[in-house]
Amino acid sequence: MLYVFCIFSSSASEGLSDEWAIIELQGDIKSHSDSSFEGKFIGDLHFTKSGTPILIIGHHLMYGKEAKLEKPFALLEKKKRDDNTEYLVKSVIKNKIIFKTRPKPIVGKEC
Amino acid sequence: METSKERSLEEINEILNLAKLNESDVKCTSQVIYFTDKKLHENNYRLLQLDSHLLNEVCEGNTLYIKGNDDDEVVICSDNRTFHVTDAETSNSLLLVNNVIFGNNIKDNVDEGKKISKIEVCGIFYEYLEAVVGKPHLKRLIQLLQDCVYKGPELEFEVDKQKLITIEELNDIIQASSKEIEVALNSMNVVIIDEKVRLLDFEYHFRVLSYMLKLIDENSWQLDEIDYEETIDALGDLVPREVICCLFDKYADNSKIIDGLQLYRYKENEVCKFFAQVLLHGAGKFNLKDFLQAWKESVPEGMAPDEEMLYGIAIIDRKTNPNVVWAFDESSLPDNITERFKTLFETKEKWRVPEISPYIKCFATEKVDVNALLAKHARSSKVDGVKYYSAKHGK
Repeated sequence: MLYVFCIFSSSASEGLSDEWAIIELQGDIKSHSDSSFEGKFIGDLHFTKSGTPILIIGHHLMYGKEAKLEKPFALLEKKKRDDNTEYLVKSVIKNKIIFKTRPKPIVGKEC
Repeated sequence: METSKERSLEEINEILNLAKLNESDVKCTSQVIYFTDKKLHENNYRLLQLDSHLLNEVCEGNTLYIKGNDDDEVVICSDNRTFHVTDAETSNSLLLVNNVIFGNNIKDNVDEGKKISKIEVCGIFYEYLEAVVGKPHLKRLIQLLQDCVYKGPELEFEVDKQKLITIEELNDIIQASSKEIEVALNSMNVVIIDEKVRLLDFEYHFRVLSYMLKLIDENSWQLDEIDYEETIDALGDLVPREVICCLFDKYADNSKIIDGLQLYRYKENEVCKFFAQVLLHGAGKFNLKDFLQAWKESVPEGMAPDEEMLYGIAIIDRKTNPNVVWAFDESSLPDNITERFKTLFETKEKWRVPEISPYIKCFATEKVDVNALLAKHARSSKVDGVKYYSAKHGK
């Protein structure tokens, strides 16, 4: 089967949304329970006074850094219209915060 | 992980303190990260990595086309380029987030007190699409046009009209950008008749070109004083205007303007090349001396055929006695570069660069030119100061 899908970019004048970004984690996020993720709280993001991002998930703390994506990502959203599938460039993502240090355990309160 | 409820400043500070950090160590806006309420893994989002060309297209607001076939690799086309798309996996997880405030954008104003801002994770990705500029896929174009041969109005009844296609249809079917398709069609003796793309039949092509050239004698025109309108008038009853226009575009150039009338000149190289193909077509091996004589006689008076014009269309073998020449067309060669070199060196042992270039230039890219290809796939030698290339592992 042959197919052609269009990827529409909004015109330059309208401007692309820049409210999107990537947070990159080494490893994966797993839930304690098997319950679904939707709507759940994940963690806190802080920045130190000198600008280093800190991510606290559960009782783990990670130091990260902000980085420019060497090659940006287009965030494509698939849309179905009648029988047609098309993609819309919602945003060009140029920046990310990456956490690749080993998480430091936070000791204290029972969890 | 906790269930969803608005997170309070106290909770945020409590865990900060447990981590032996003080509220004053961090900037005054803290961001709390939640998963979206919507389905996280069944979202309609994909990440496409953009190289500088694609970034430019997207920022300009241009439309891109994903062209695929269930059996093919997927490509993305801009107006003038083809990108090959592959799935790239990452071992890290990429959280697609909304409303992150980056460090520099946090106004650290102590007087205003602590603020909480909410970030939403709308997707987790372990792969993204990677697009790399590549060659267009044009093989299908050639296959499709084999069913669209035009042999002249009197033979149109033979043609299955269902199989004829328009340029717009080709743009949907062929995995290449519209510009690349246009360039390919221009190199292919294609004529547009009733909006359909038709491949000009070789014999018919020869017949019409001969009619056109015959007018030079009939009207006693100089070679550089060809009159376009008169050519159309003289042949209009015999040949569709589209075909004459197409061949005129291919074979004629502006030469001069006399009394406000633009005149043309037939391109010697193109005309001679075509007549060589006509002579060699289906003829097998031809005695070189006889061929050169016949060739010279076939072209319009004043045109001088030259052996160099045969590069890319025929091969001359000077090792046999008598020397011979035969038609050798690129389309008969394998698409794989190694196989192609193998076939080329089986056909002829030693090649000079201009002789072999037409058969391998389709593999050349901006970074790897024909000479680099030869350096990699062939062995060079010099005979009387002339550089030849032969098989790398040859005798």
